[in-house]
Amino acid sequence: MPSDISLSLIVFIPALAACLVLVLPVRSDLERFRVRTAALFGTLLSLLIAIFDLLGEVGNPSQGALPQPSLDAPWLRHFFFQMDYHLGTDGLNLMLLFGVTAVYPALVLASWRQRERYRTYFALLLLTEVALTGALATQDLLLFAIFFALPVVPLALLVAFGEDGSGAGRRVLWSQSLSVAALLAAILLMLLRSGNRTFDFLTLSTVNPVKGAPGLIVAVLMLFAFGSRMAIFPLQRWFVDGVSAAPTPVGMLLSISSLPLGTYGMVRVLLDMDPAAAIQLVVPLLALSLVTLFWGGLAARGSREPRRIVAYCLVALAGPVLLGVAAFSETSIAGALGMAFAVTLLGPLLLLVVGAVADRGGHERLRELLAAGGSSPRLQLLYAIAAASLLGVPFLAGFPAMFQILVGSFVAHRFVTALTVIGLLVLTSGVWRLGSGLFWRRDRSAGPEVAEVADAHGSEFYAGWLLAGLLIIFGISAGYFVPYTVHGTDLVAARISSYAPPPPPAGGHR
Amino acid sequence: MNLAFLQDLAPIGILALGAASCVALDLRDQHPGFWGRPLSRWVTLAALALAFLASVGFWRSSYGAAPPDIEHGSFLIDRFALFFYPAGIAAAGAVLLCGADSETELDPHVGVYHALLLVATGGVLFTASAADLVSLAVGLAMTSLPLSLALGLRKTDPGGTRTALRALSISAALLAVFIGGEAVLAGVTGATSLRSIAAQPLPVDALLALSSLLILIGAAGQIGIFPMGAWKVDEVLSGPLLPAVARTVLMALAATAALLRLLPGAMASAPGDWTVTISVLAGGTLVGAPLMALRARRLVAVVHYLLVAQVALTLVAMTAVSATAVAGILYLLLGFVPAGAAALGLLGAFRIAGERDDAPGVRGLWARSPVLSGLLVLLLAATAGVPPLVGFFSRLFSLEAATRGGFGWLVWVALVSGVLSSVAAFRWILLLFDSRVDGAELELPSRTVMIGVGLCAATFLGFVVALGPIMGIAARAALPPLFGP
Repeated sequence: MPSDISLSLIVFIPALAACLVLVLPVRSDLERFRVRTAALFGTLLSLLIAIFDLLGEVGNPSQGALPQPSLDAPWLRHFFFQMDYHLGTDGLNLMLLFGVTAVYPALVLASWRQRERYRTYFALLLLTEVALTGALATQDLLLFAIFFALPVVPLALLVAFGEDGSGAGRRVLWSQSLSVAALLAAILLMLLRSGNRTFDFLTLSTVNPVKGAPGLIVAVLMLFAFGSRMAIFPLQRWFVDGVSAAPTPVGMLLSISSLPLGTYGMVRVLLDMDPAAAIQLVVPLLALSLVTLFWGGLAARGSREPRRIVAYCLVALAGPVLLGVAAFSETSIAGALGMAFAVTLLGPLLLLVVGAVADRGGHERLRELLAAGGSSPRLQLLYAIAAASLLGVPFLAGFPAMFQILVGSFVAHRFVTALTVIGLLVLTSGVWRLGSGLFWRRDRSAGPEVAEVADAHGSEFYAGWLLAGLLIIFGISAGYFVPYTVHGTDLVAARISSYAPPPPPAGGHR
Repeated sequence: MNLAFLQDLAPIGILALGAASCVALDLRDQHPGFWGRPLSRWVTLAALALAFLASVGFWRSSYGAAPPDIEHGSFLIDRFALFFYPAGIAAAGAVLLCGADSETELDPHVGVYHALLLVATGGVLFTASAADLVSLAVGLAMTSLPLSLALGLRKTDPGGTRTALRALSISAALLAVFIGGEAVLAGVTGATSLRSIAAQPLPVDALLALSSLLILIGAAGQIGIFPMGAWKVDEVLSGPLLPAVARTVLMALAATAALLRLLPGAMASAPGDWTVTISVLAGGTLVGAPLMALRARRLVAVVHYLLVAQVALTLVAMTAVSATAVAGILYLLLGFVPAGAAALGLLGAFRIAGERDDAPGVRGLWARSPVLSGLLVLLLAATAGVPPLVGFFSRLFSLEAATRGGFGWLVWVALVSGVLSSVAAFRWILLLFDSRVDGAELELPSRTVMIGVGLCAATFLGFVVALGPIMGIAARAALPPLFGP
């Protein structure tokens, strides 16, 4: 008998809501309202279960080490390998799972003014929630790969629905299909070389990993798969083009589907399942971290479109996250996961605000939108909260994560950490440029006159405050949540350190 | 005279009786039938249902560690055959229901078509039950030739007749190649019984390699495997769609059964003679078919090429000579049949409704018929192997088998093929959702087609949810030896 079905409910209630949405009629405004409401209730129900069932666990940090609650049912037994329907939460995935379920009501609210392809749009949106929550909740590697692959087509379709989004949608499909193919190849190679028959995370994280050249190939394939999903340099184009071409809510969706899931995969699969090879990749990881941060920051400074600037800022954030991963300490890894959690909230919020200004202003270029949000105090405040969280300002969700990354990495990689701090200053200038351009810069001599846009109201306002409120709540109460995550990352760091080469003896060199 | 053996031929006998009845009904004056449907369709459905029940009865008796296999010379009913019995009959049922609207293309010869469909279904069962080289060839001929003939039933269309003639000629030529391969095998081994061949320790030999090459081209060429794919697409493009669908689905079952009996079955002791050939053919198809799908200008051709790419995965899995790999192949076939029958059947109904299946024709279809478009999206995704649908698991099983068989390069080829297939499918999915085009609302296909397509969709979705039990059944059917008790 399953010990707990709450996780299954969190994952599959949106699927039921998607089915309901697809059969509801949409002939009148009232019927369209019912479709929206059904989608909203589907996401809210998942969130309520997550609040009541998951967050209570955080009070006992030691539970972060092992998956709880756990539902483990055999799914496939008569083949070379075994596969289980195994769901559970631990320190690595609980906060991310909660973050994703919390963001979806905001996504539905942000989509409240959606006018075209009503049922398809909301059904695809809900399907992506199934995929993301499923990928985060599962404790089986193959099931993870399935959920990792599931959102690719819905995301590509949603991006393609935007005006001139066809090319961007195709790019999403190509890049993410290749990412899925790389992950599958890595899994197959790992399974074949290790001789294991199970995909269970817990088992795979305790057996000997694949060694030598095959182990390194597995690690490189995984780095490609998760790096592509995280949109690290040079695999970021699908994300930047997607955010730029898609409608605002779809851009928000892309932001939670990319860095958070990629980071989780990097920690859960690459570090935990293939630690020996991950150690060999430390230099490429650090190099990618710096290049991604500086490239994203500089591109954010140089880009002319507000949505692209936000996309580049989110790409740049992957730099510190990679640094946290490559430092291999429990604190830095917890910081990387914390930053991924913060991005699930701040990414959509930034895109919501910037998209609102750009959509209402009717322009795509920053110089054509100068001070367009100058008389929109709500939008200004929401932008300030999101930007501050992105830069790691205290009392917001980004702060504990950035602090953990920098502190955890400083011991192992001082030089790189120092360069990261400089990169964050570059990123700050990009964020400042966007904010001052949209909200505060009054000099309009360089561009055409733009009417100031209306402030956030209605569903958009509620969506913004839901996200901003969560950023503040999780920033203030970080001390309550962080120990739980650290208990999960503790095991990963311990496993990596057991494969690290022994330090040279003291005084061994003259 | 002991006639007890007749009961062992019950499923095939029922199909043969049904075929004879359909021909008799076709010879009569046109009859309005029951509920407006042709009488021969009811007879065909009844024959399939009865044969299915008889097969399930046999299947129940196959439980246990050492099931009582039934053997009559060249005819053998073991667990492997009993897997194909219900699968083949269900496939014919799926084709019949999903293609109900397309039967108008074959007027006034619908009864003959139904008879040929039943004969071909019997051919699948016969191939699966074959215990020697001769009965294997007879089974394949019973499946392939009737459906090639059926392609010529649209007599008003000279193009269709030419297509039928070409299909018949090529099918016959491929059968000759297959028989030639069998002849070489019989010459080298000195036996025609699969059990006798399997009992010999076969060497790595040039003649055996030639024999396996001919067998592979003769059997797999019938389903459009590289390099024999080009002519197959003509069937779905210019012939009547219904016999082409039936041929695609039933031949996939028969050809795979024949190859499994011969290669991992009888020639299991000399895998070096055929695994390299099979990997080259599989690799060529895995790359070629999705590329052709990317180039294709009609949706029906895209679906056809994606299905061929799916079938090529059976060859990929055959490179690992093991019962587990065979189980993976059987699972693949179970998923392939409903997806193929439903996708092509739906497109047939689309064509009959006077709609075009090229890019301008399907552009914006979502606004005109969300149900039809939704089903097409699901079926395209399933045939392309998009997770978590049944095609994805089939691909995964094949890749795992290929790595176990020592053909790691095929894994990369299959992964690239998966990406290409997804992109080919997605291009058409995007067209379906194009909002710049508007048109009159499209009527749904008939209730029979919708029931058929709905059942097929439910079946292949059910195969994902019930992956464990279905693989359990496939694993039991795949237990060695494949050629007898």
